[in-house]
Amino acid sequence: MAKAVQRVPGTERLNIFGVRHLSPASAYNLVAFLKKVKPKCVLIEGPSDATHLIEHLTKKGVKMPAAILSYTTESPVQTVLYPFAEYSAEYQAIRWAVKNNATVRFIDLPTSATVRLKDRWIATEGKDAEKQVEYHKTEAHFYADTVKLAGEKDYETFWERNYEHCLEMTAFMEKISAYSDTMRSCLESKQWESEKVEASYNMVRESFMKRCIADAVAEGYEESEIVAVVGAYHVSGLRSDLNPMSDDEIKSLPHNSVNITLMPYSYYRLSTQSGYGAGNLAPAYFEMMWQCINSGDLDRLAPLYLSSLGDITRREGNYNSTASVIEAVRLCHGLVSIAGGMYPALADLHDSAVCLLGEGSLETVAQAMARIDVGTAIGSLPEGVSQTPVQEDMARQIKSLKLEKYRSAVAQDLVLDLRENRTVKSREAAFIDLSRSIFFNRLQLLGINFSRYSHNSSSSSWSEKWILQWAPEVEIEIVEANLKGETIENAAAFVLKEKLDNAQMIGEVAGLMRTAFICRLLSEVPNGLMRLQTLCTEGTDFIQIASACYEISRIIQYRDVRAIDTTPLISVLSQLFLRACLVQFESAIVDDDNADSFISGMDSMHTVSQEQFEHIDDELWTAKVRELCDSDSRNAKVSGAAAALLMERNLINDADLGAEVSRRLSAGMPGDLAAMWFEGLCSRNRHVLLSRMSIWNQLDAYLDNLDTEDFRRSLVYLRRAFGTFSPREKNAIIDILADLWNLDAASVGEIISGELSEEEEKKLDELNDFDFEF
Amino acid sequence: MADVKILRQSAEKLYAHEIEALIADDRDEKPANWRMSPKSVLKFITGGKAGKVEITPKYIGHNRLVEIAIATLLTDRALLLIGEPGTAKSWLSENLAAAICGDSNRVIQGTAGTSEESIRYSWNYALLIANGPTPQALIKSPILSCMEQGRIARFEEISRCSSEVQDALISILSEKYISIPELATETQAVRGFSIIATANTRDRGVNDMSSALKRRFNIIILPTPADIETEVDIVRRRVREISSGYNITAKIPGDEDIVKIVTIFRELRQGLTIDKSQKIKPPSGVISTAEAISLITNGMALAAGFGDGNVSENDLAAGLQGAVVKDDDKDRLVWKEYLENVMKKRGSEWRKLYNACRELNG
Repeated sequence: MAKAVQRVPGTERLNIFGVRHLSPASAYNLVAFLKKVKPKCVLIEGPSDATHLIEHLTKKGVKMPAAILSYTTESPVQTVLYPFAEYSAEYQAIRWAVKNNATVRFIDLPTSATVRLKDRWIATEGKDAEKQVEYHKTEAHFYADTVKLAGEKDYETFWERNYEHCLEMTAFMEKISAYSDTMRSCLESKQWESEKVEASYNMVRESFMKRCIADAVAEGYEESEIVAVVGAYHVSGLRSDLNPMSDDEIKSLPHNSVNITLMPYSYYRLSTQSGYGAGNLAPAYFEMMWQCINSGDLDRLAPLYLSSLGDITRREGNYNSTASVIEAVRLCHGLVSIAGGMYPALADLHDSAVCLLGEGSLETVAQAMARIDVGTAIGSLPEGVSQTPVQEDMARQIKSLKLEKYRSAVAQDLVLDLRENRTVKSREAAFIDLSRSIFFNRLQLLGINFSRYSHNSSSSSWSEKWILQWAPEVEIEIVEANLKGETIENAAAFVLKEKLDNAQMIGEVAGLMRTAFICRLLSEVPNGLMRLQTLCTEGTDFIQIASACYEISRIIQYRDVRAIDTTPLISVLSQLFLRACLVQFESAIVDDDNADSFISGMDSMHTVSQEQFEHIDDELWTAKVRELCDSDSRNAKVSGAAAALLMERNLINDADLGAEVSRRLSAGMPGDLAAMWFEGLCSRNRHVLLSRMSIWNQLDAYLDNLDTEDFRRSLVYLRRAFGTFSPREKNAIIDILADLWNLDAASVGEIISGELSEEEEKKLDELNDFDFEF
Repeated sequence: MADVKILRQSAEKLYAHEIEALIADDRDEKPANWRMSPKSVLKFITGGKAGKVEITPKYIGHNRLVEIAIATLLTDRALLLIGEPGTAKSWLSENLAAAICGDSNRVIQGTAGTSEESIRYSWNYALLIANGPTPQALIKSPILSCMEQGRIARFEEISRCSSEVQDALISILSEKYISIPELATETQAVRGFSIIATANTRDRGVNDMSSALKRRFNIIILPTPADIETEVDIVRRRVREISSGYNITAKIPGDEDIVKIVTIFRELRQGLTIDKSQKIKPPSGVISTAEAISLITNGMALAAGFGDGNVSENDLAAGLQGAVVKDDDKDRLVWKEYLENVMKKRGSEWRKLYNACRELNG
């Protein structure tokens, strides 16, 4: 072995084919080259620890695009992705090799080393940001100059016109290696100066690749029987006298524990990835090009592209004729003849389309272009292809829950009916929507964004609306879930347990209990109940306990639709409710900032008292509310809200209410407290407020008796309280006032809702500076 | 030299030496009846070098649009240039015609009064009455004569013509011949014939073009200059050319004045300061690059005729006032707001111009 390592692979006889990743012409010419050379061993630039996945990539039923995904098994999870499309040169080489029984291997650094290699160097060597910027400027200049020299509009067009359209194998090989050699000679020395980490990384990779090639030679393959497929940039590196990596050097590479798997990929994701290869800006277009090249008719691309575009714009409602498409094809050939190429490039197609199909404006065709350039295609892997356990579980569940059609890059709505479907035979079918809901909720718990809960317009407890959309990120999230368990259920239970253990607030625990029920992870329920009870006996925070009550009440409310047994929850609920009632009055000393959350706590309690009346002590609750209503020592807004609550439940009669209104608004009350109280009173059911004439009578009498100074004072807070009323409610008030004053509604309305005169405006402005301190 | 007396030289005369140099230097294939290859036409418009002769750029900033325009004419399609006023539509069309067939004067100037005859043909009525319909009595329209000779006809302000007149173009553009039933003949277009039409986006409402007619054109929308550097460059070049053409003796204003004018124009046009920090209310009218050019040449004419030969702040302010406040008091307010909110705060370099403008605006 040691001897073999000594031997630097020959520079002449070894076949090295330089490609650009995701480039149809590279793929086409490479296949032609392979057919000619008929190698016995094909070595491909790709992570060497993923070699075992190669056979899976060529299995029947695999649909591109797909990616090799490697992720660290320890958190924080770091991932490395190697996406392939149908037109990737690497993928085509794999297919050729498997079909022709040639050995095929990846020869780049293993991902266990690459995952954190650069980080480590940066940590030890430090980064010189300024120099880096300098280097990237040099690089950008190189590209800009290339484009300018070629007289092209941008780099992609330059590349497409000069390389993608070159379908003669030898010429292509020469061209691409000449270009990369020039690039390397212009940039490499600069890179060593200012972007050392990148440069070293490159060298380490090339040295490793050389070692893999040397290994293949040592195994007995003749150099002429080997074809190495690498990025064009590396060709001269592999041909240089750089030494293959030694055993010791390999040992000194970092070794992270990683898992490596295949995942379906999407064209959309491919198009958003920068700096990877030719086909990435417009993957669907390049696939179209690949098909045209393979059918031996690249001339067909322009008509195919433009007529597909015409078809889409037509379906979008922008009429255009076949004649326009024909003229667009002619125009793009005209553009080619000026630029001096053979076939139209994507930029030519775009410009012709704008000119002819868009009548000069990009907006008309932009959307159709995006659809045809990028496309919505996503890949898929059949069962049995190497996947992580959770990926497999996910695929199984998607199949059994009949969700395959939602596995698409286009977002789709799904409305679930959680009730039993009595028209079907099997139990699974009857509860399929419920199972789906459980599945989606588990995914949400795991942070897998395949399904998003959406607000449903129907308020019924058995109906849920979800928005489903698949993206490669989803696949990564699924893979990450492997760290938490082998199945979606296990992983979700693990996450729930972790969250329960860390939860300190009673409301949070109750929320997690609800999660446990909607995700049907009942194993965690006893544990959660215990924590709830403990926290409940110690708890003094009304707001937290009230929200816990609410959460538990929700669970009980949905027990039938979700077919769960909630008996153990009922006693906890009674206990929580009692506790909340007892601490309510004490807790009601809150500052104005917290008054609103206190009031929403009271709202929750009210809802619970209505929903669960048979399980809770309603008398105690209303008594406590009354206590709050009558008290002058608690936050005034809260007291006002308590009064509103009593009013809503019809537990206070008109006379009492009238007396309370006049007491609270009387001159003896400090203005700001009166204001807060009135705001509290208005914070609940306005219908009830508007239907009680006594309040308005009192208010009217009160305002009548005020002297000017006091009136000005009251005006400030009354304006604030009424500011939140909707126009319809304001009209109702106008009607009430008209009734009260024996006037017709229209004239009152004119006075009240008419625009303010400048003088009035000024006076109101002065009120804003009104000084309450007296 | 009779030419000296001509108010405005056409492009092929103004740039005759450039065209000659390009033809002499041309190595690429020429399409039928073109005087030079498409690449040379491109060079004529966007600038470069032909042999030893410097070719001045005539249309700056959007080379790709010029390429599309030339490619269109190459495919014998008619070309329609659309844009805001002052985006060099006619200028581009004139120069394209000058470069391709050396004759930019075959023009139909579209108005509400343009009749169908001026698109097809009309008659010399004296001859018609004397001899009946004969080829001698026939008066050919620019389009008809261009068809015969394989040249480029220009149609300015096409959307100002009535829709009947526009309709007459439809069949000409698709069949590429005009029949003359009175003489029982027809004229078929020779290769190289095409039409370059221009239309104004602000006039869309005047006589909207039918979609049937639009479909017979390749349409290019000419944008306003992409950035301030390009616009300053355009203004500077054109001012220099125009002032030498008109023999205006005043000095061309310094770069800093041109930058100021262009800055004001761009900001008012976009409703946003150049540094994007402040919204500005735009005036009702269009504030085009062409107007910036005429504003400066006017200022120069004022300085030469009535001043000391140097364009003063007052001359520029008068021009600005006229350009911005076109309509009514609303524009006056817009201008005042701009002066107070933006210009006043720009520091001492702008102070003189600001004072002059404020005084005029009242």
